[in-house]
Amino acid sequence: MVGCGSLLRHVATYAFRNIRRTPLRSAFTVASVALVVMLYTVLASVGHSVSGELASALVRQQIDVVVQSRYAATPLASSLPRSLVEQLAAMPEVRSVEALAIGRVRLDEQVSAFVLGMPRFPEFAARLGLRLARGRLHRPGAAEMVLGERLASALGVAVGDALALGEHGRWRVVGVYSTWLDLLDAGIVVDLADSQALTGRGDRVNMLFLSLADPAAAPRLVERIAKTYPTLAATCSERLPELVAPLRTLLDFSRVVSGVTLLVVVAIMLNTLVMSIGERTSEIGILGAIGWPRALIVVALVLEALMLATAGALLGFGLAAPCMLLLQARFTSVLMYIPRWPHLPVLLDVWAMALLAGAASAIFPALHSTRMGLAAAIRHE
Amino acid sequence: MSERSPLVAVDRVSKAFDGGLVQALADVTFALPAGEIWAVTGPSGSGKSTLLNLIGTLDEPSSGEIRYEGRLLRQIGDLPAFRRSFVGLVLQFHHLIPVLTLRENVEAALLPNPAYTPRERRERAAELLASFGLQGRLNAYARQVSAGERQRAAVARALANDPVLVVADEPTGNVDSENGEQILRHLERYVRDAGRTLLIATHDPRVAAIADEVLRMRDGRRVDSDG
Repeated sequence: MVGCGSLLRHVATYAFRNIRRTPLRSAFTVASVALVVMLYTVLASVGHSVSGELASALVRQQIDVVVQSRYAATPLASSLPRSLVEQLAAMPEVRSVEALAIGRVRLDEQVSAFVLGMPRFPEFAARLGLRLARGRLHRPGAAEMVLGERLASALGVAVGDALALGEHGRWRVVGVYSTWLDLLDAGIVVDLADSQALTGRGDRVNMLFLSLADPAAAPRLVERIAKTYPTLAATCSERLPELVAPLRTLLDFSRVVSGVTLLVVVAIMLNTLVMSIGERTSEIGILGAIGWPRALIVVALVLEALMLATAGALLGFGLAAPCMLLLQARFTSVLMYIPRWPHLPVLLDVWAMALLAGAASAIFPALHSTRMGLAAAIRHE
Repeated sequence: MSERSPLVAVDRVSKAFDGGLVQALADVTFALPAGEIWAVTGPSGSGKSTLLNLIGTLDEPSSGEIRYEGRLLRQIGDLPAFRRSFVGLVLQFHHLIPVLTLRENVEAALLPNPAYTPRERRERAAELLASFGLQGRLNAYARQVSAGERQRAAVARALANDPVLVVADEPTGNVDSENGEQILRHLERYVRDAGRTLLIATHDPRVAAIADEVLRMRDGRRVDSDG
């Protein structure tokens, strides 16, 4: 084991010093990989933020089943009568039902925001992980609202200020809430009836959140709701992104982007490695001549590619944070979709992708250069 | 010619390049006995380097056979391990790995050899380089030392695994006479003291003086032997 560790250390040292041998080329390669990884990280973080965090938030808040209109592509398009609350609450598995009205109002030419209407703010807000950071709660019918911290910050609005909500006049900001969920943090919370008035939906809501006495009964209940109410779409909360068409599209898009990212990183790395390994053909011949097995030489070359790819992946992930801040500052209209920070699990994705791309791009030039006869390799210029 | 059994037997070996357009070696036959120093001489393009590359297992003959202690090259399973234990290679140009220090270059030859622990590798490399007067240059890179020091380090690397046969292609061709003298002295001592074998291609008349046999080449053929 000691011998193996020492062998790897030597090979890693050799690989690292080869990267430093042509610093400018290595720097450009790392920067190119980083640029691609940065773009992917931003896109993937948006996807994760909107879908994964929302679903996991619901699960964490013990919301087991989500209900919306069957043919609504998004929760915004869903429309459910409030009478459903009582009907669903009467089902034996159901412990409680919360209604949520969601709409979108334009604040000015640039910015629009989600308006969340909740019948019992403290209880339901607690369920969604919202907490009042400043000020107080809104009063029903008093043209008062509580703003999400990100939205307040983006608009430069504080408690006590007034804000025009489209044609509904000016509403007073009486409080600021914060949550760990970026999507919700860029919203406006008002009373349920106020939200229905603001978005012109009468006595209808968009979504119902069901908590069950036994969470394991969720799949059975979903089936039963589908049979009993053909116009409803119910889903277990962890599968919420599958119910929302734009989220599905976003996730599919994210997968396509990751595939393209992989190909672009392979192309960048391949270009560099074909050049750098080709230039060292003579040196590779010498390693063979002094008794290095082909596999060891290939490992050294692949390790070099993995180091370059890792550097590019880490730099790209790091650069995604300022990039996202820039996007948030520049495009306040899509603020709610852009998370504050890169989604940490994306780091694992990009690292794995970079390693895969690095190894894939090193294999061809490494095998090619070690397949050559040693005498020809040593003579190679 | 020595009566001892040959370490390397070269039998009617030919080597052609570019699909037969260039005939580098033609029907070369000789038997190199263990424990001797043989010099290969001849003008440039006479096939000296090609012959040494074939014997050093860097290339394969187009026809004919080379046996190592009676074994054909294709019968040797682990060729890298064979190269480590059997052949030490010195080329005219030092061919040190530029990103490694002199010590690391020598260690690189020992690296895949499981007989050495990491500590033994470091000690062996330092010891070998010191024997070539390079004890103060262990951590220097090839670009930081003189041409003579580079070539001495390259010879130290070739001897690292204590090879049975040293194949040296004009090892003194690119160094001054003092360094050349030191390299030759060291190679001769290595062969005489340890009972190893040296096959050395050269234009240097000093080499002929220490050789047990001189193999003369011209136009890819063996033309004479005065041993």
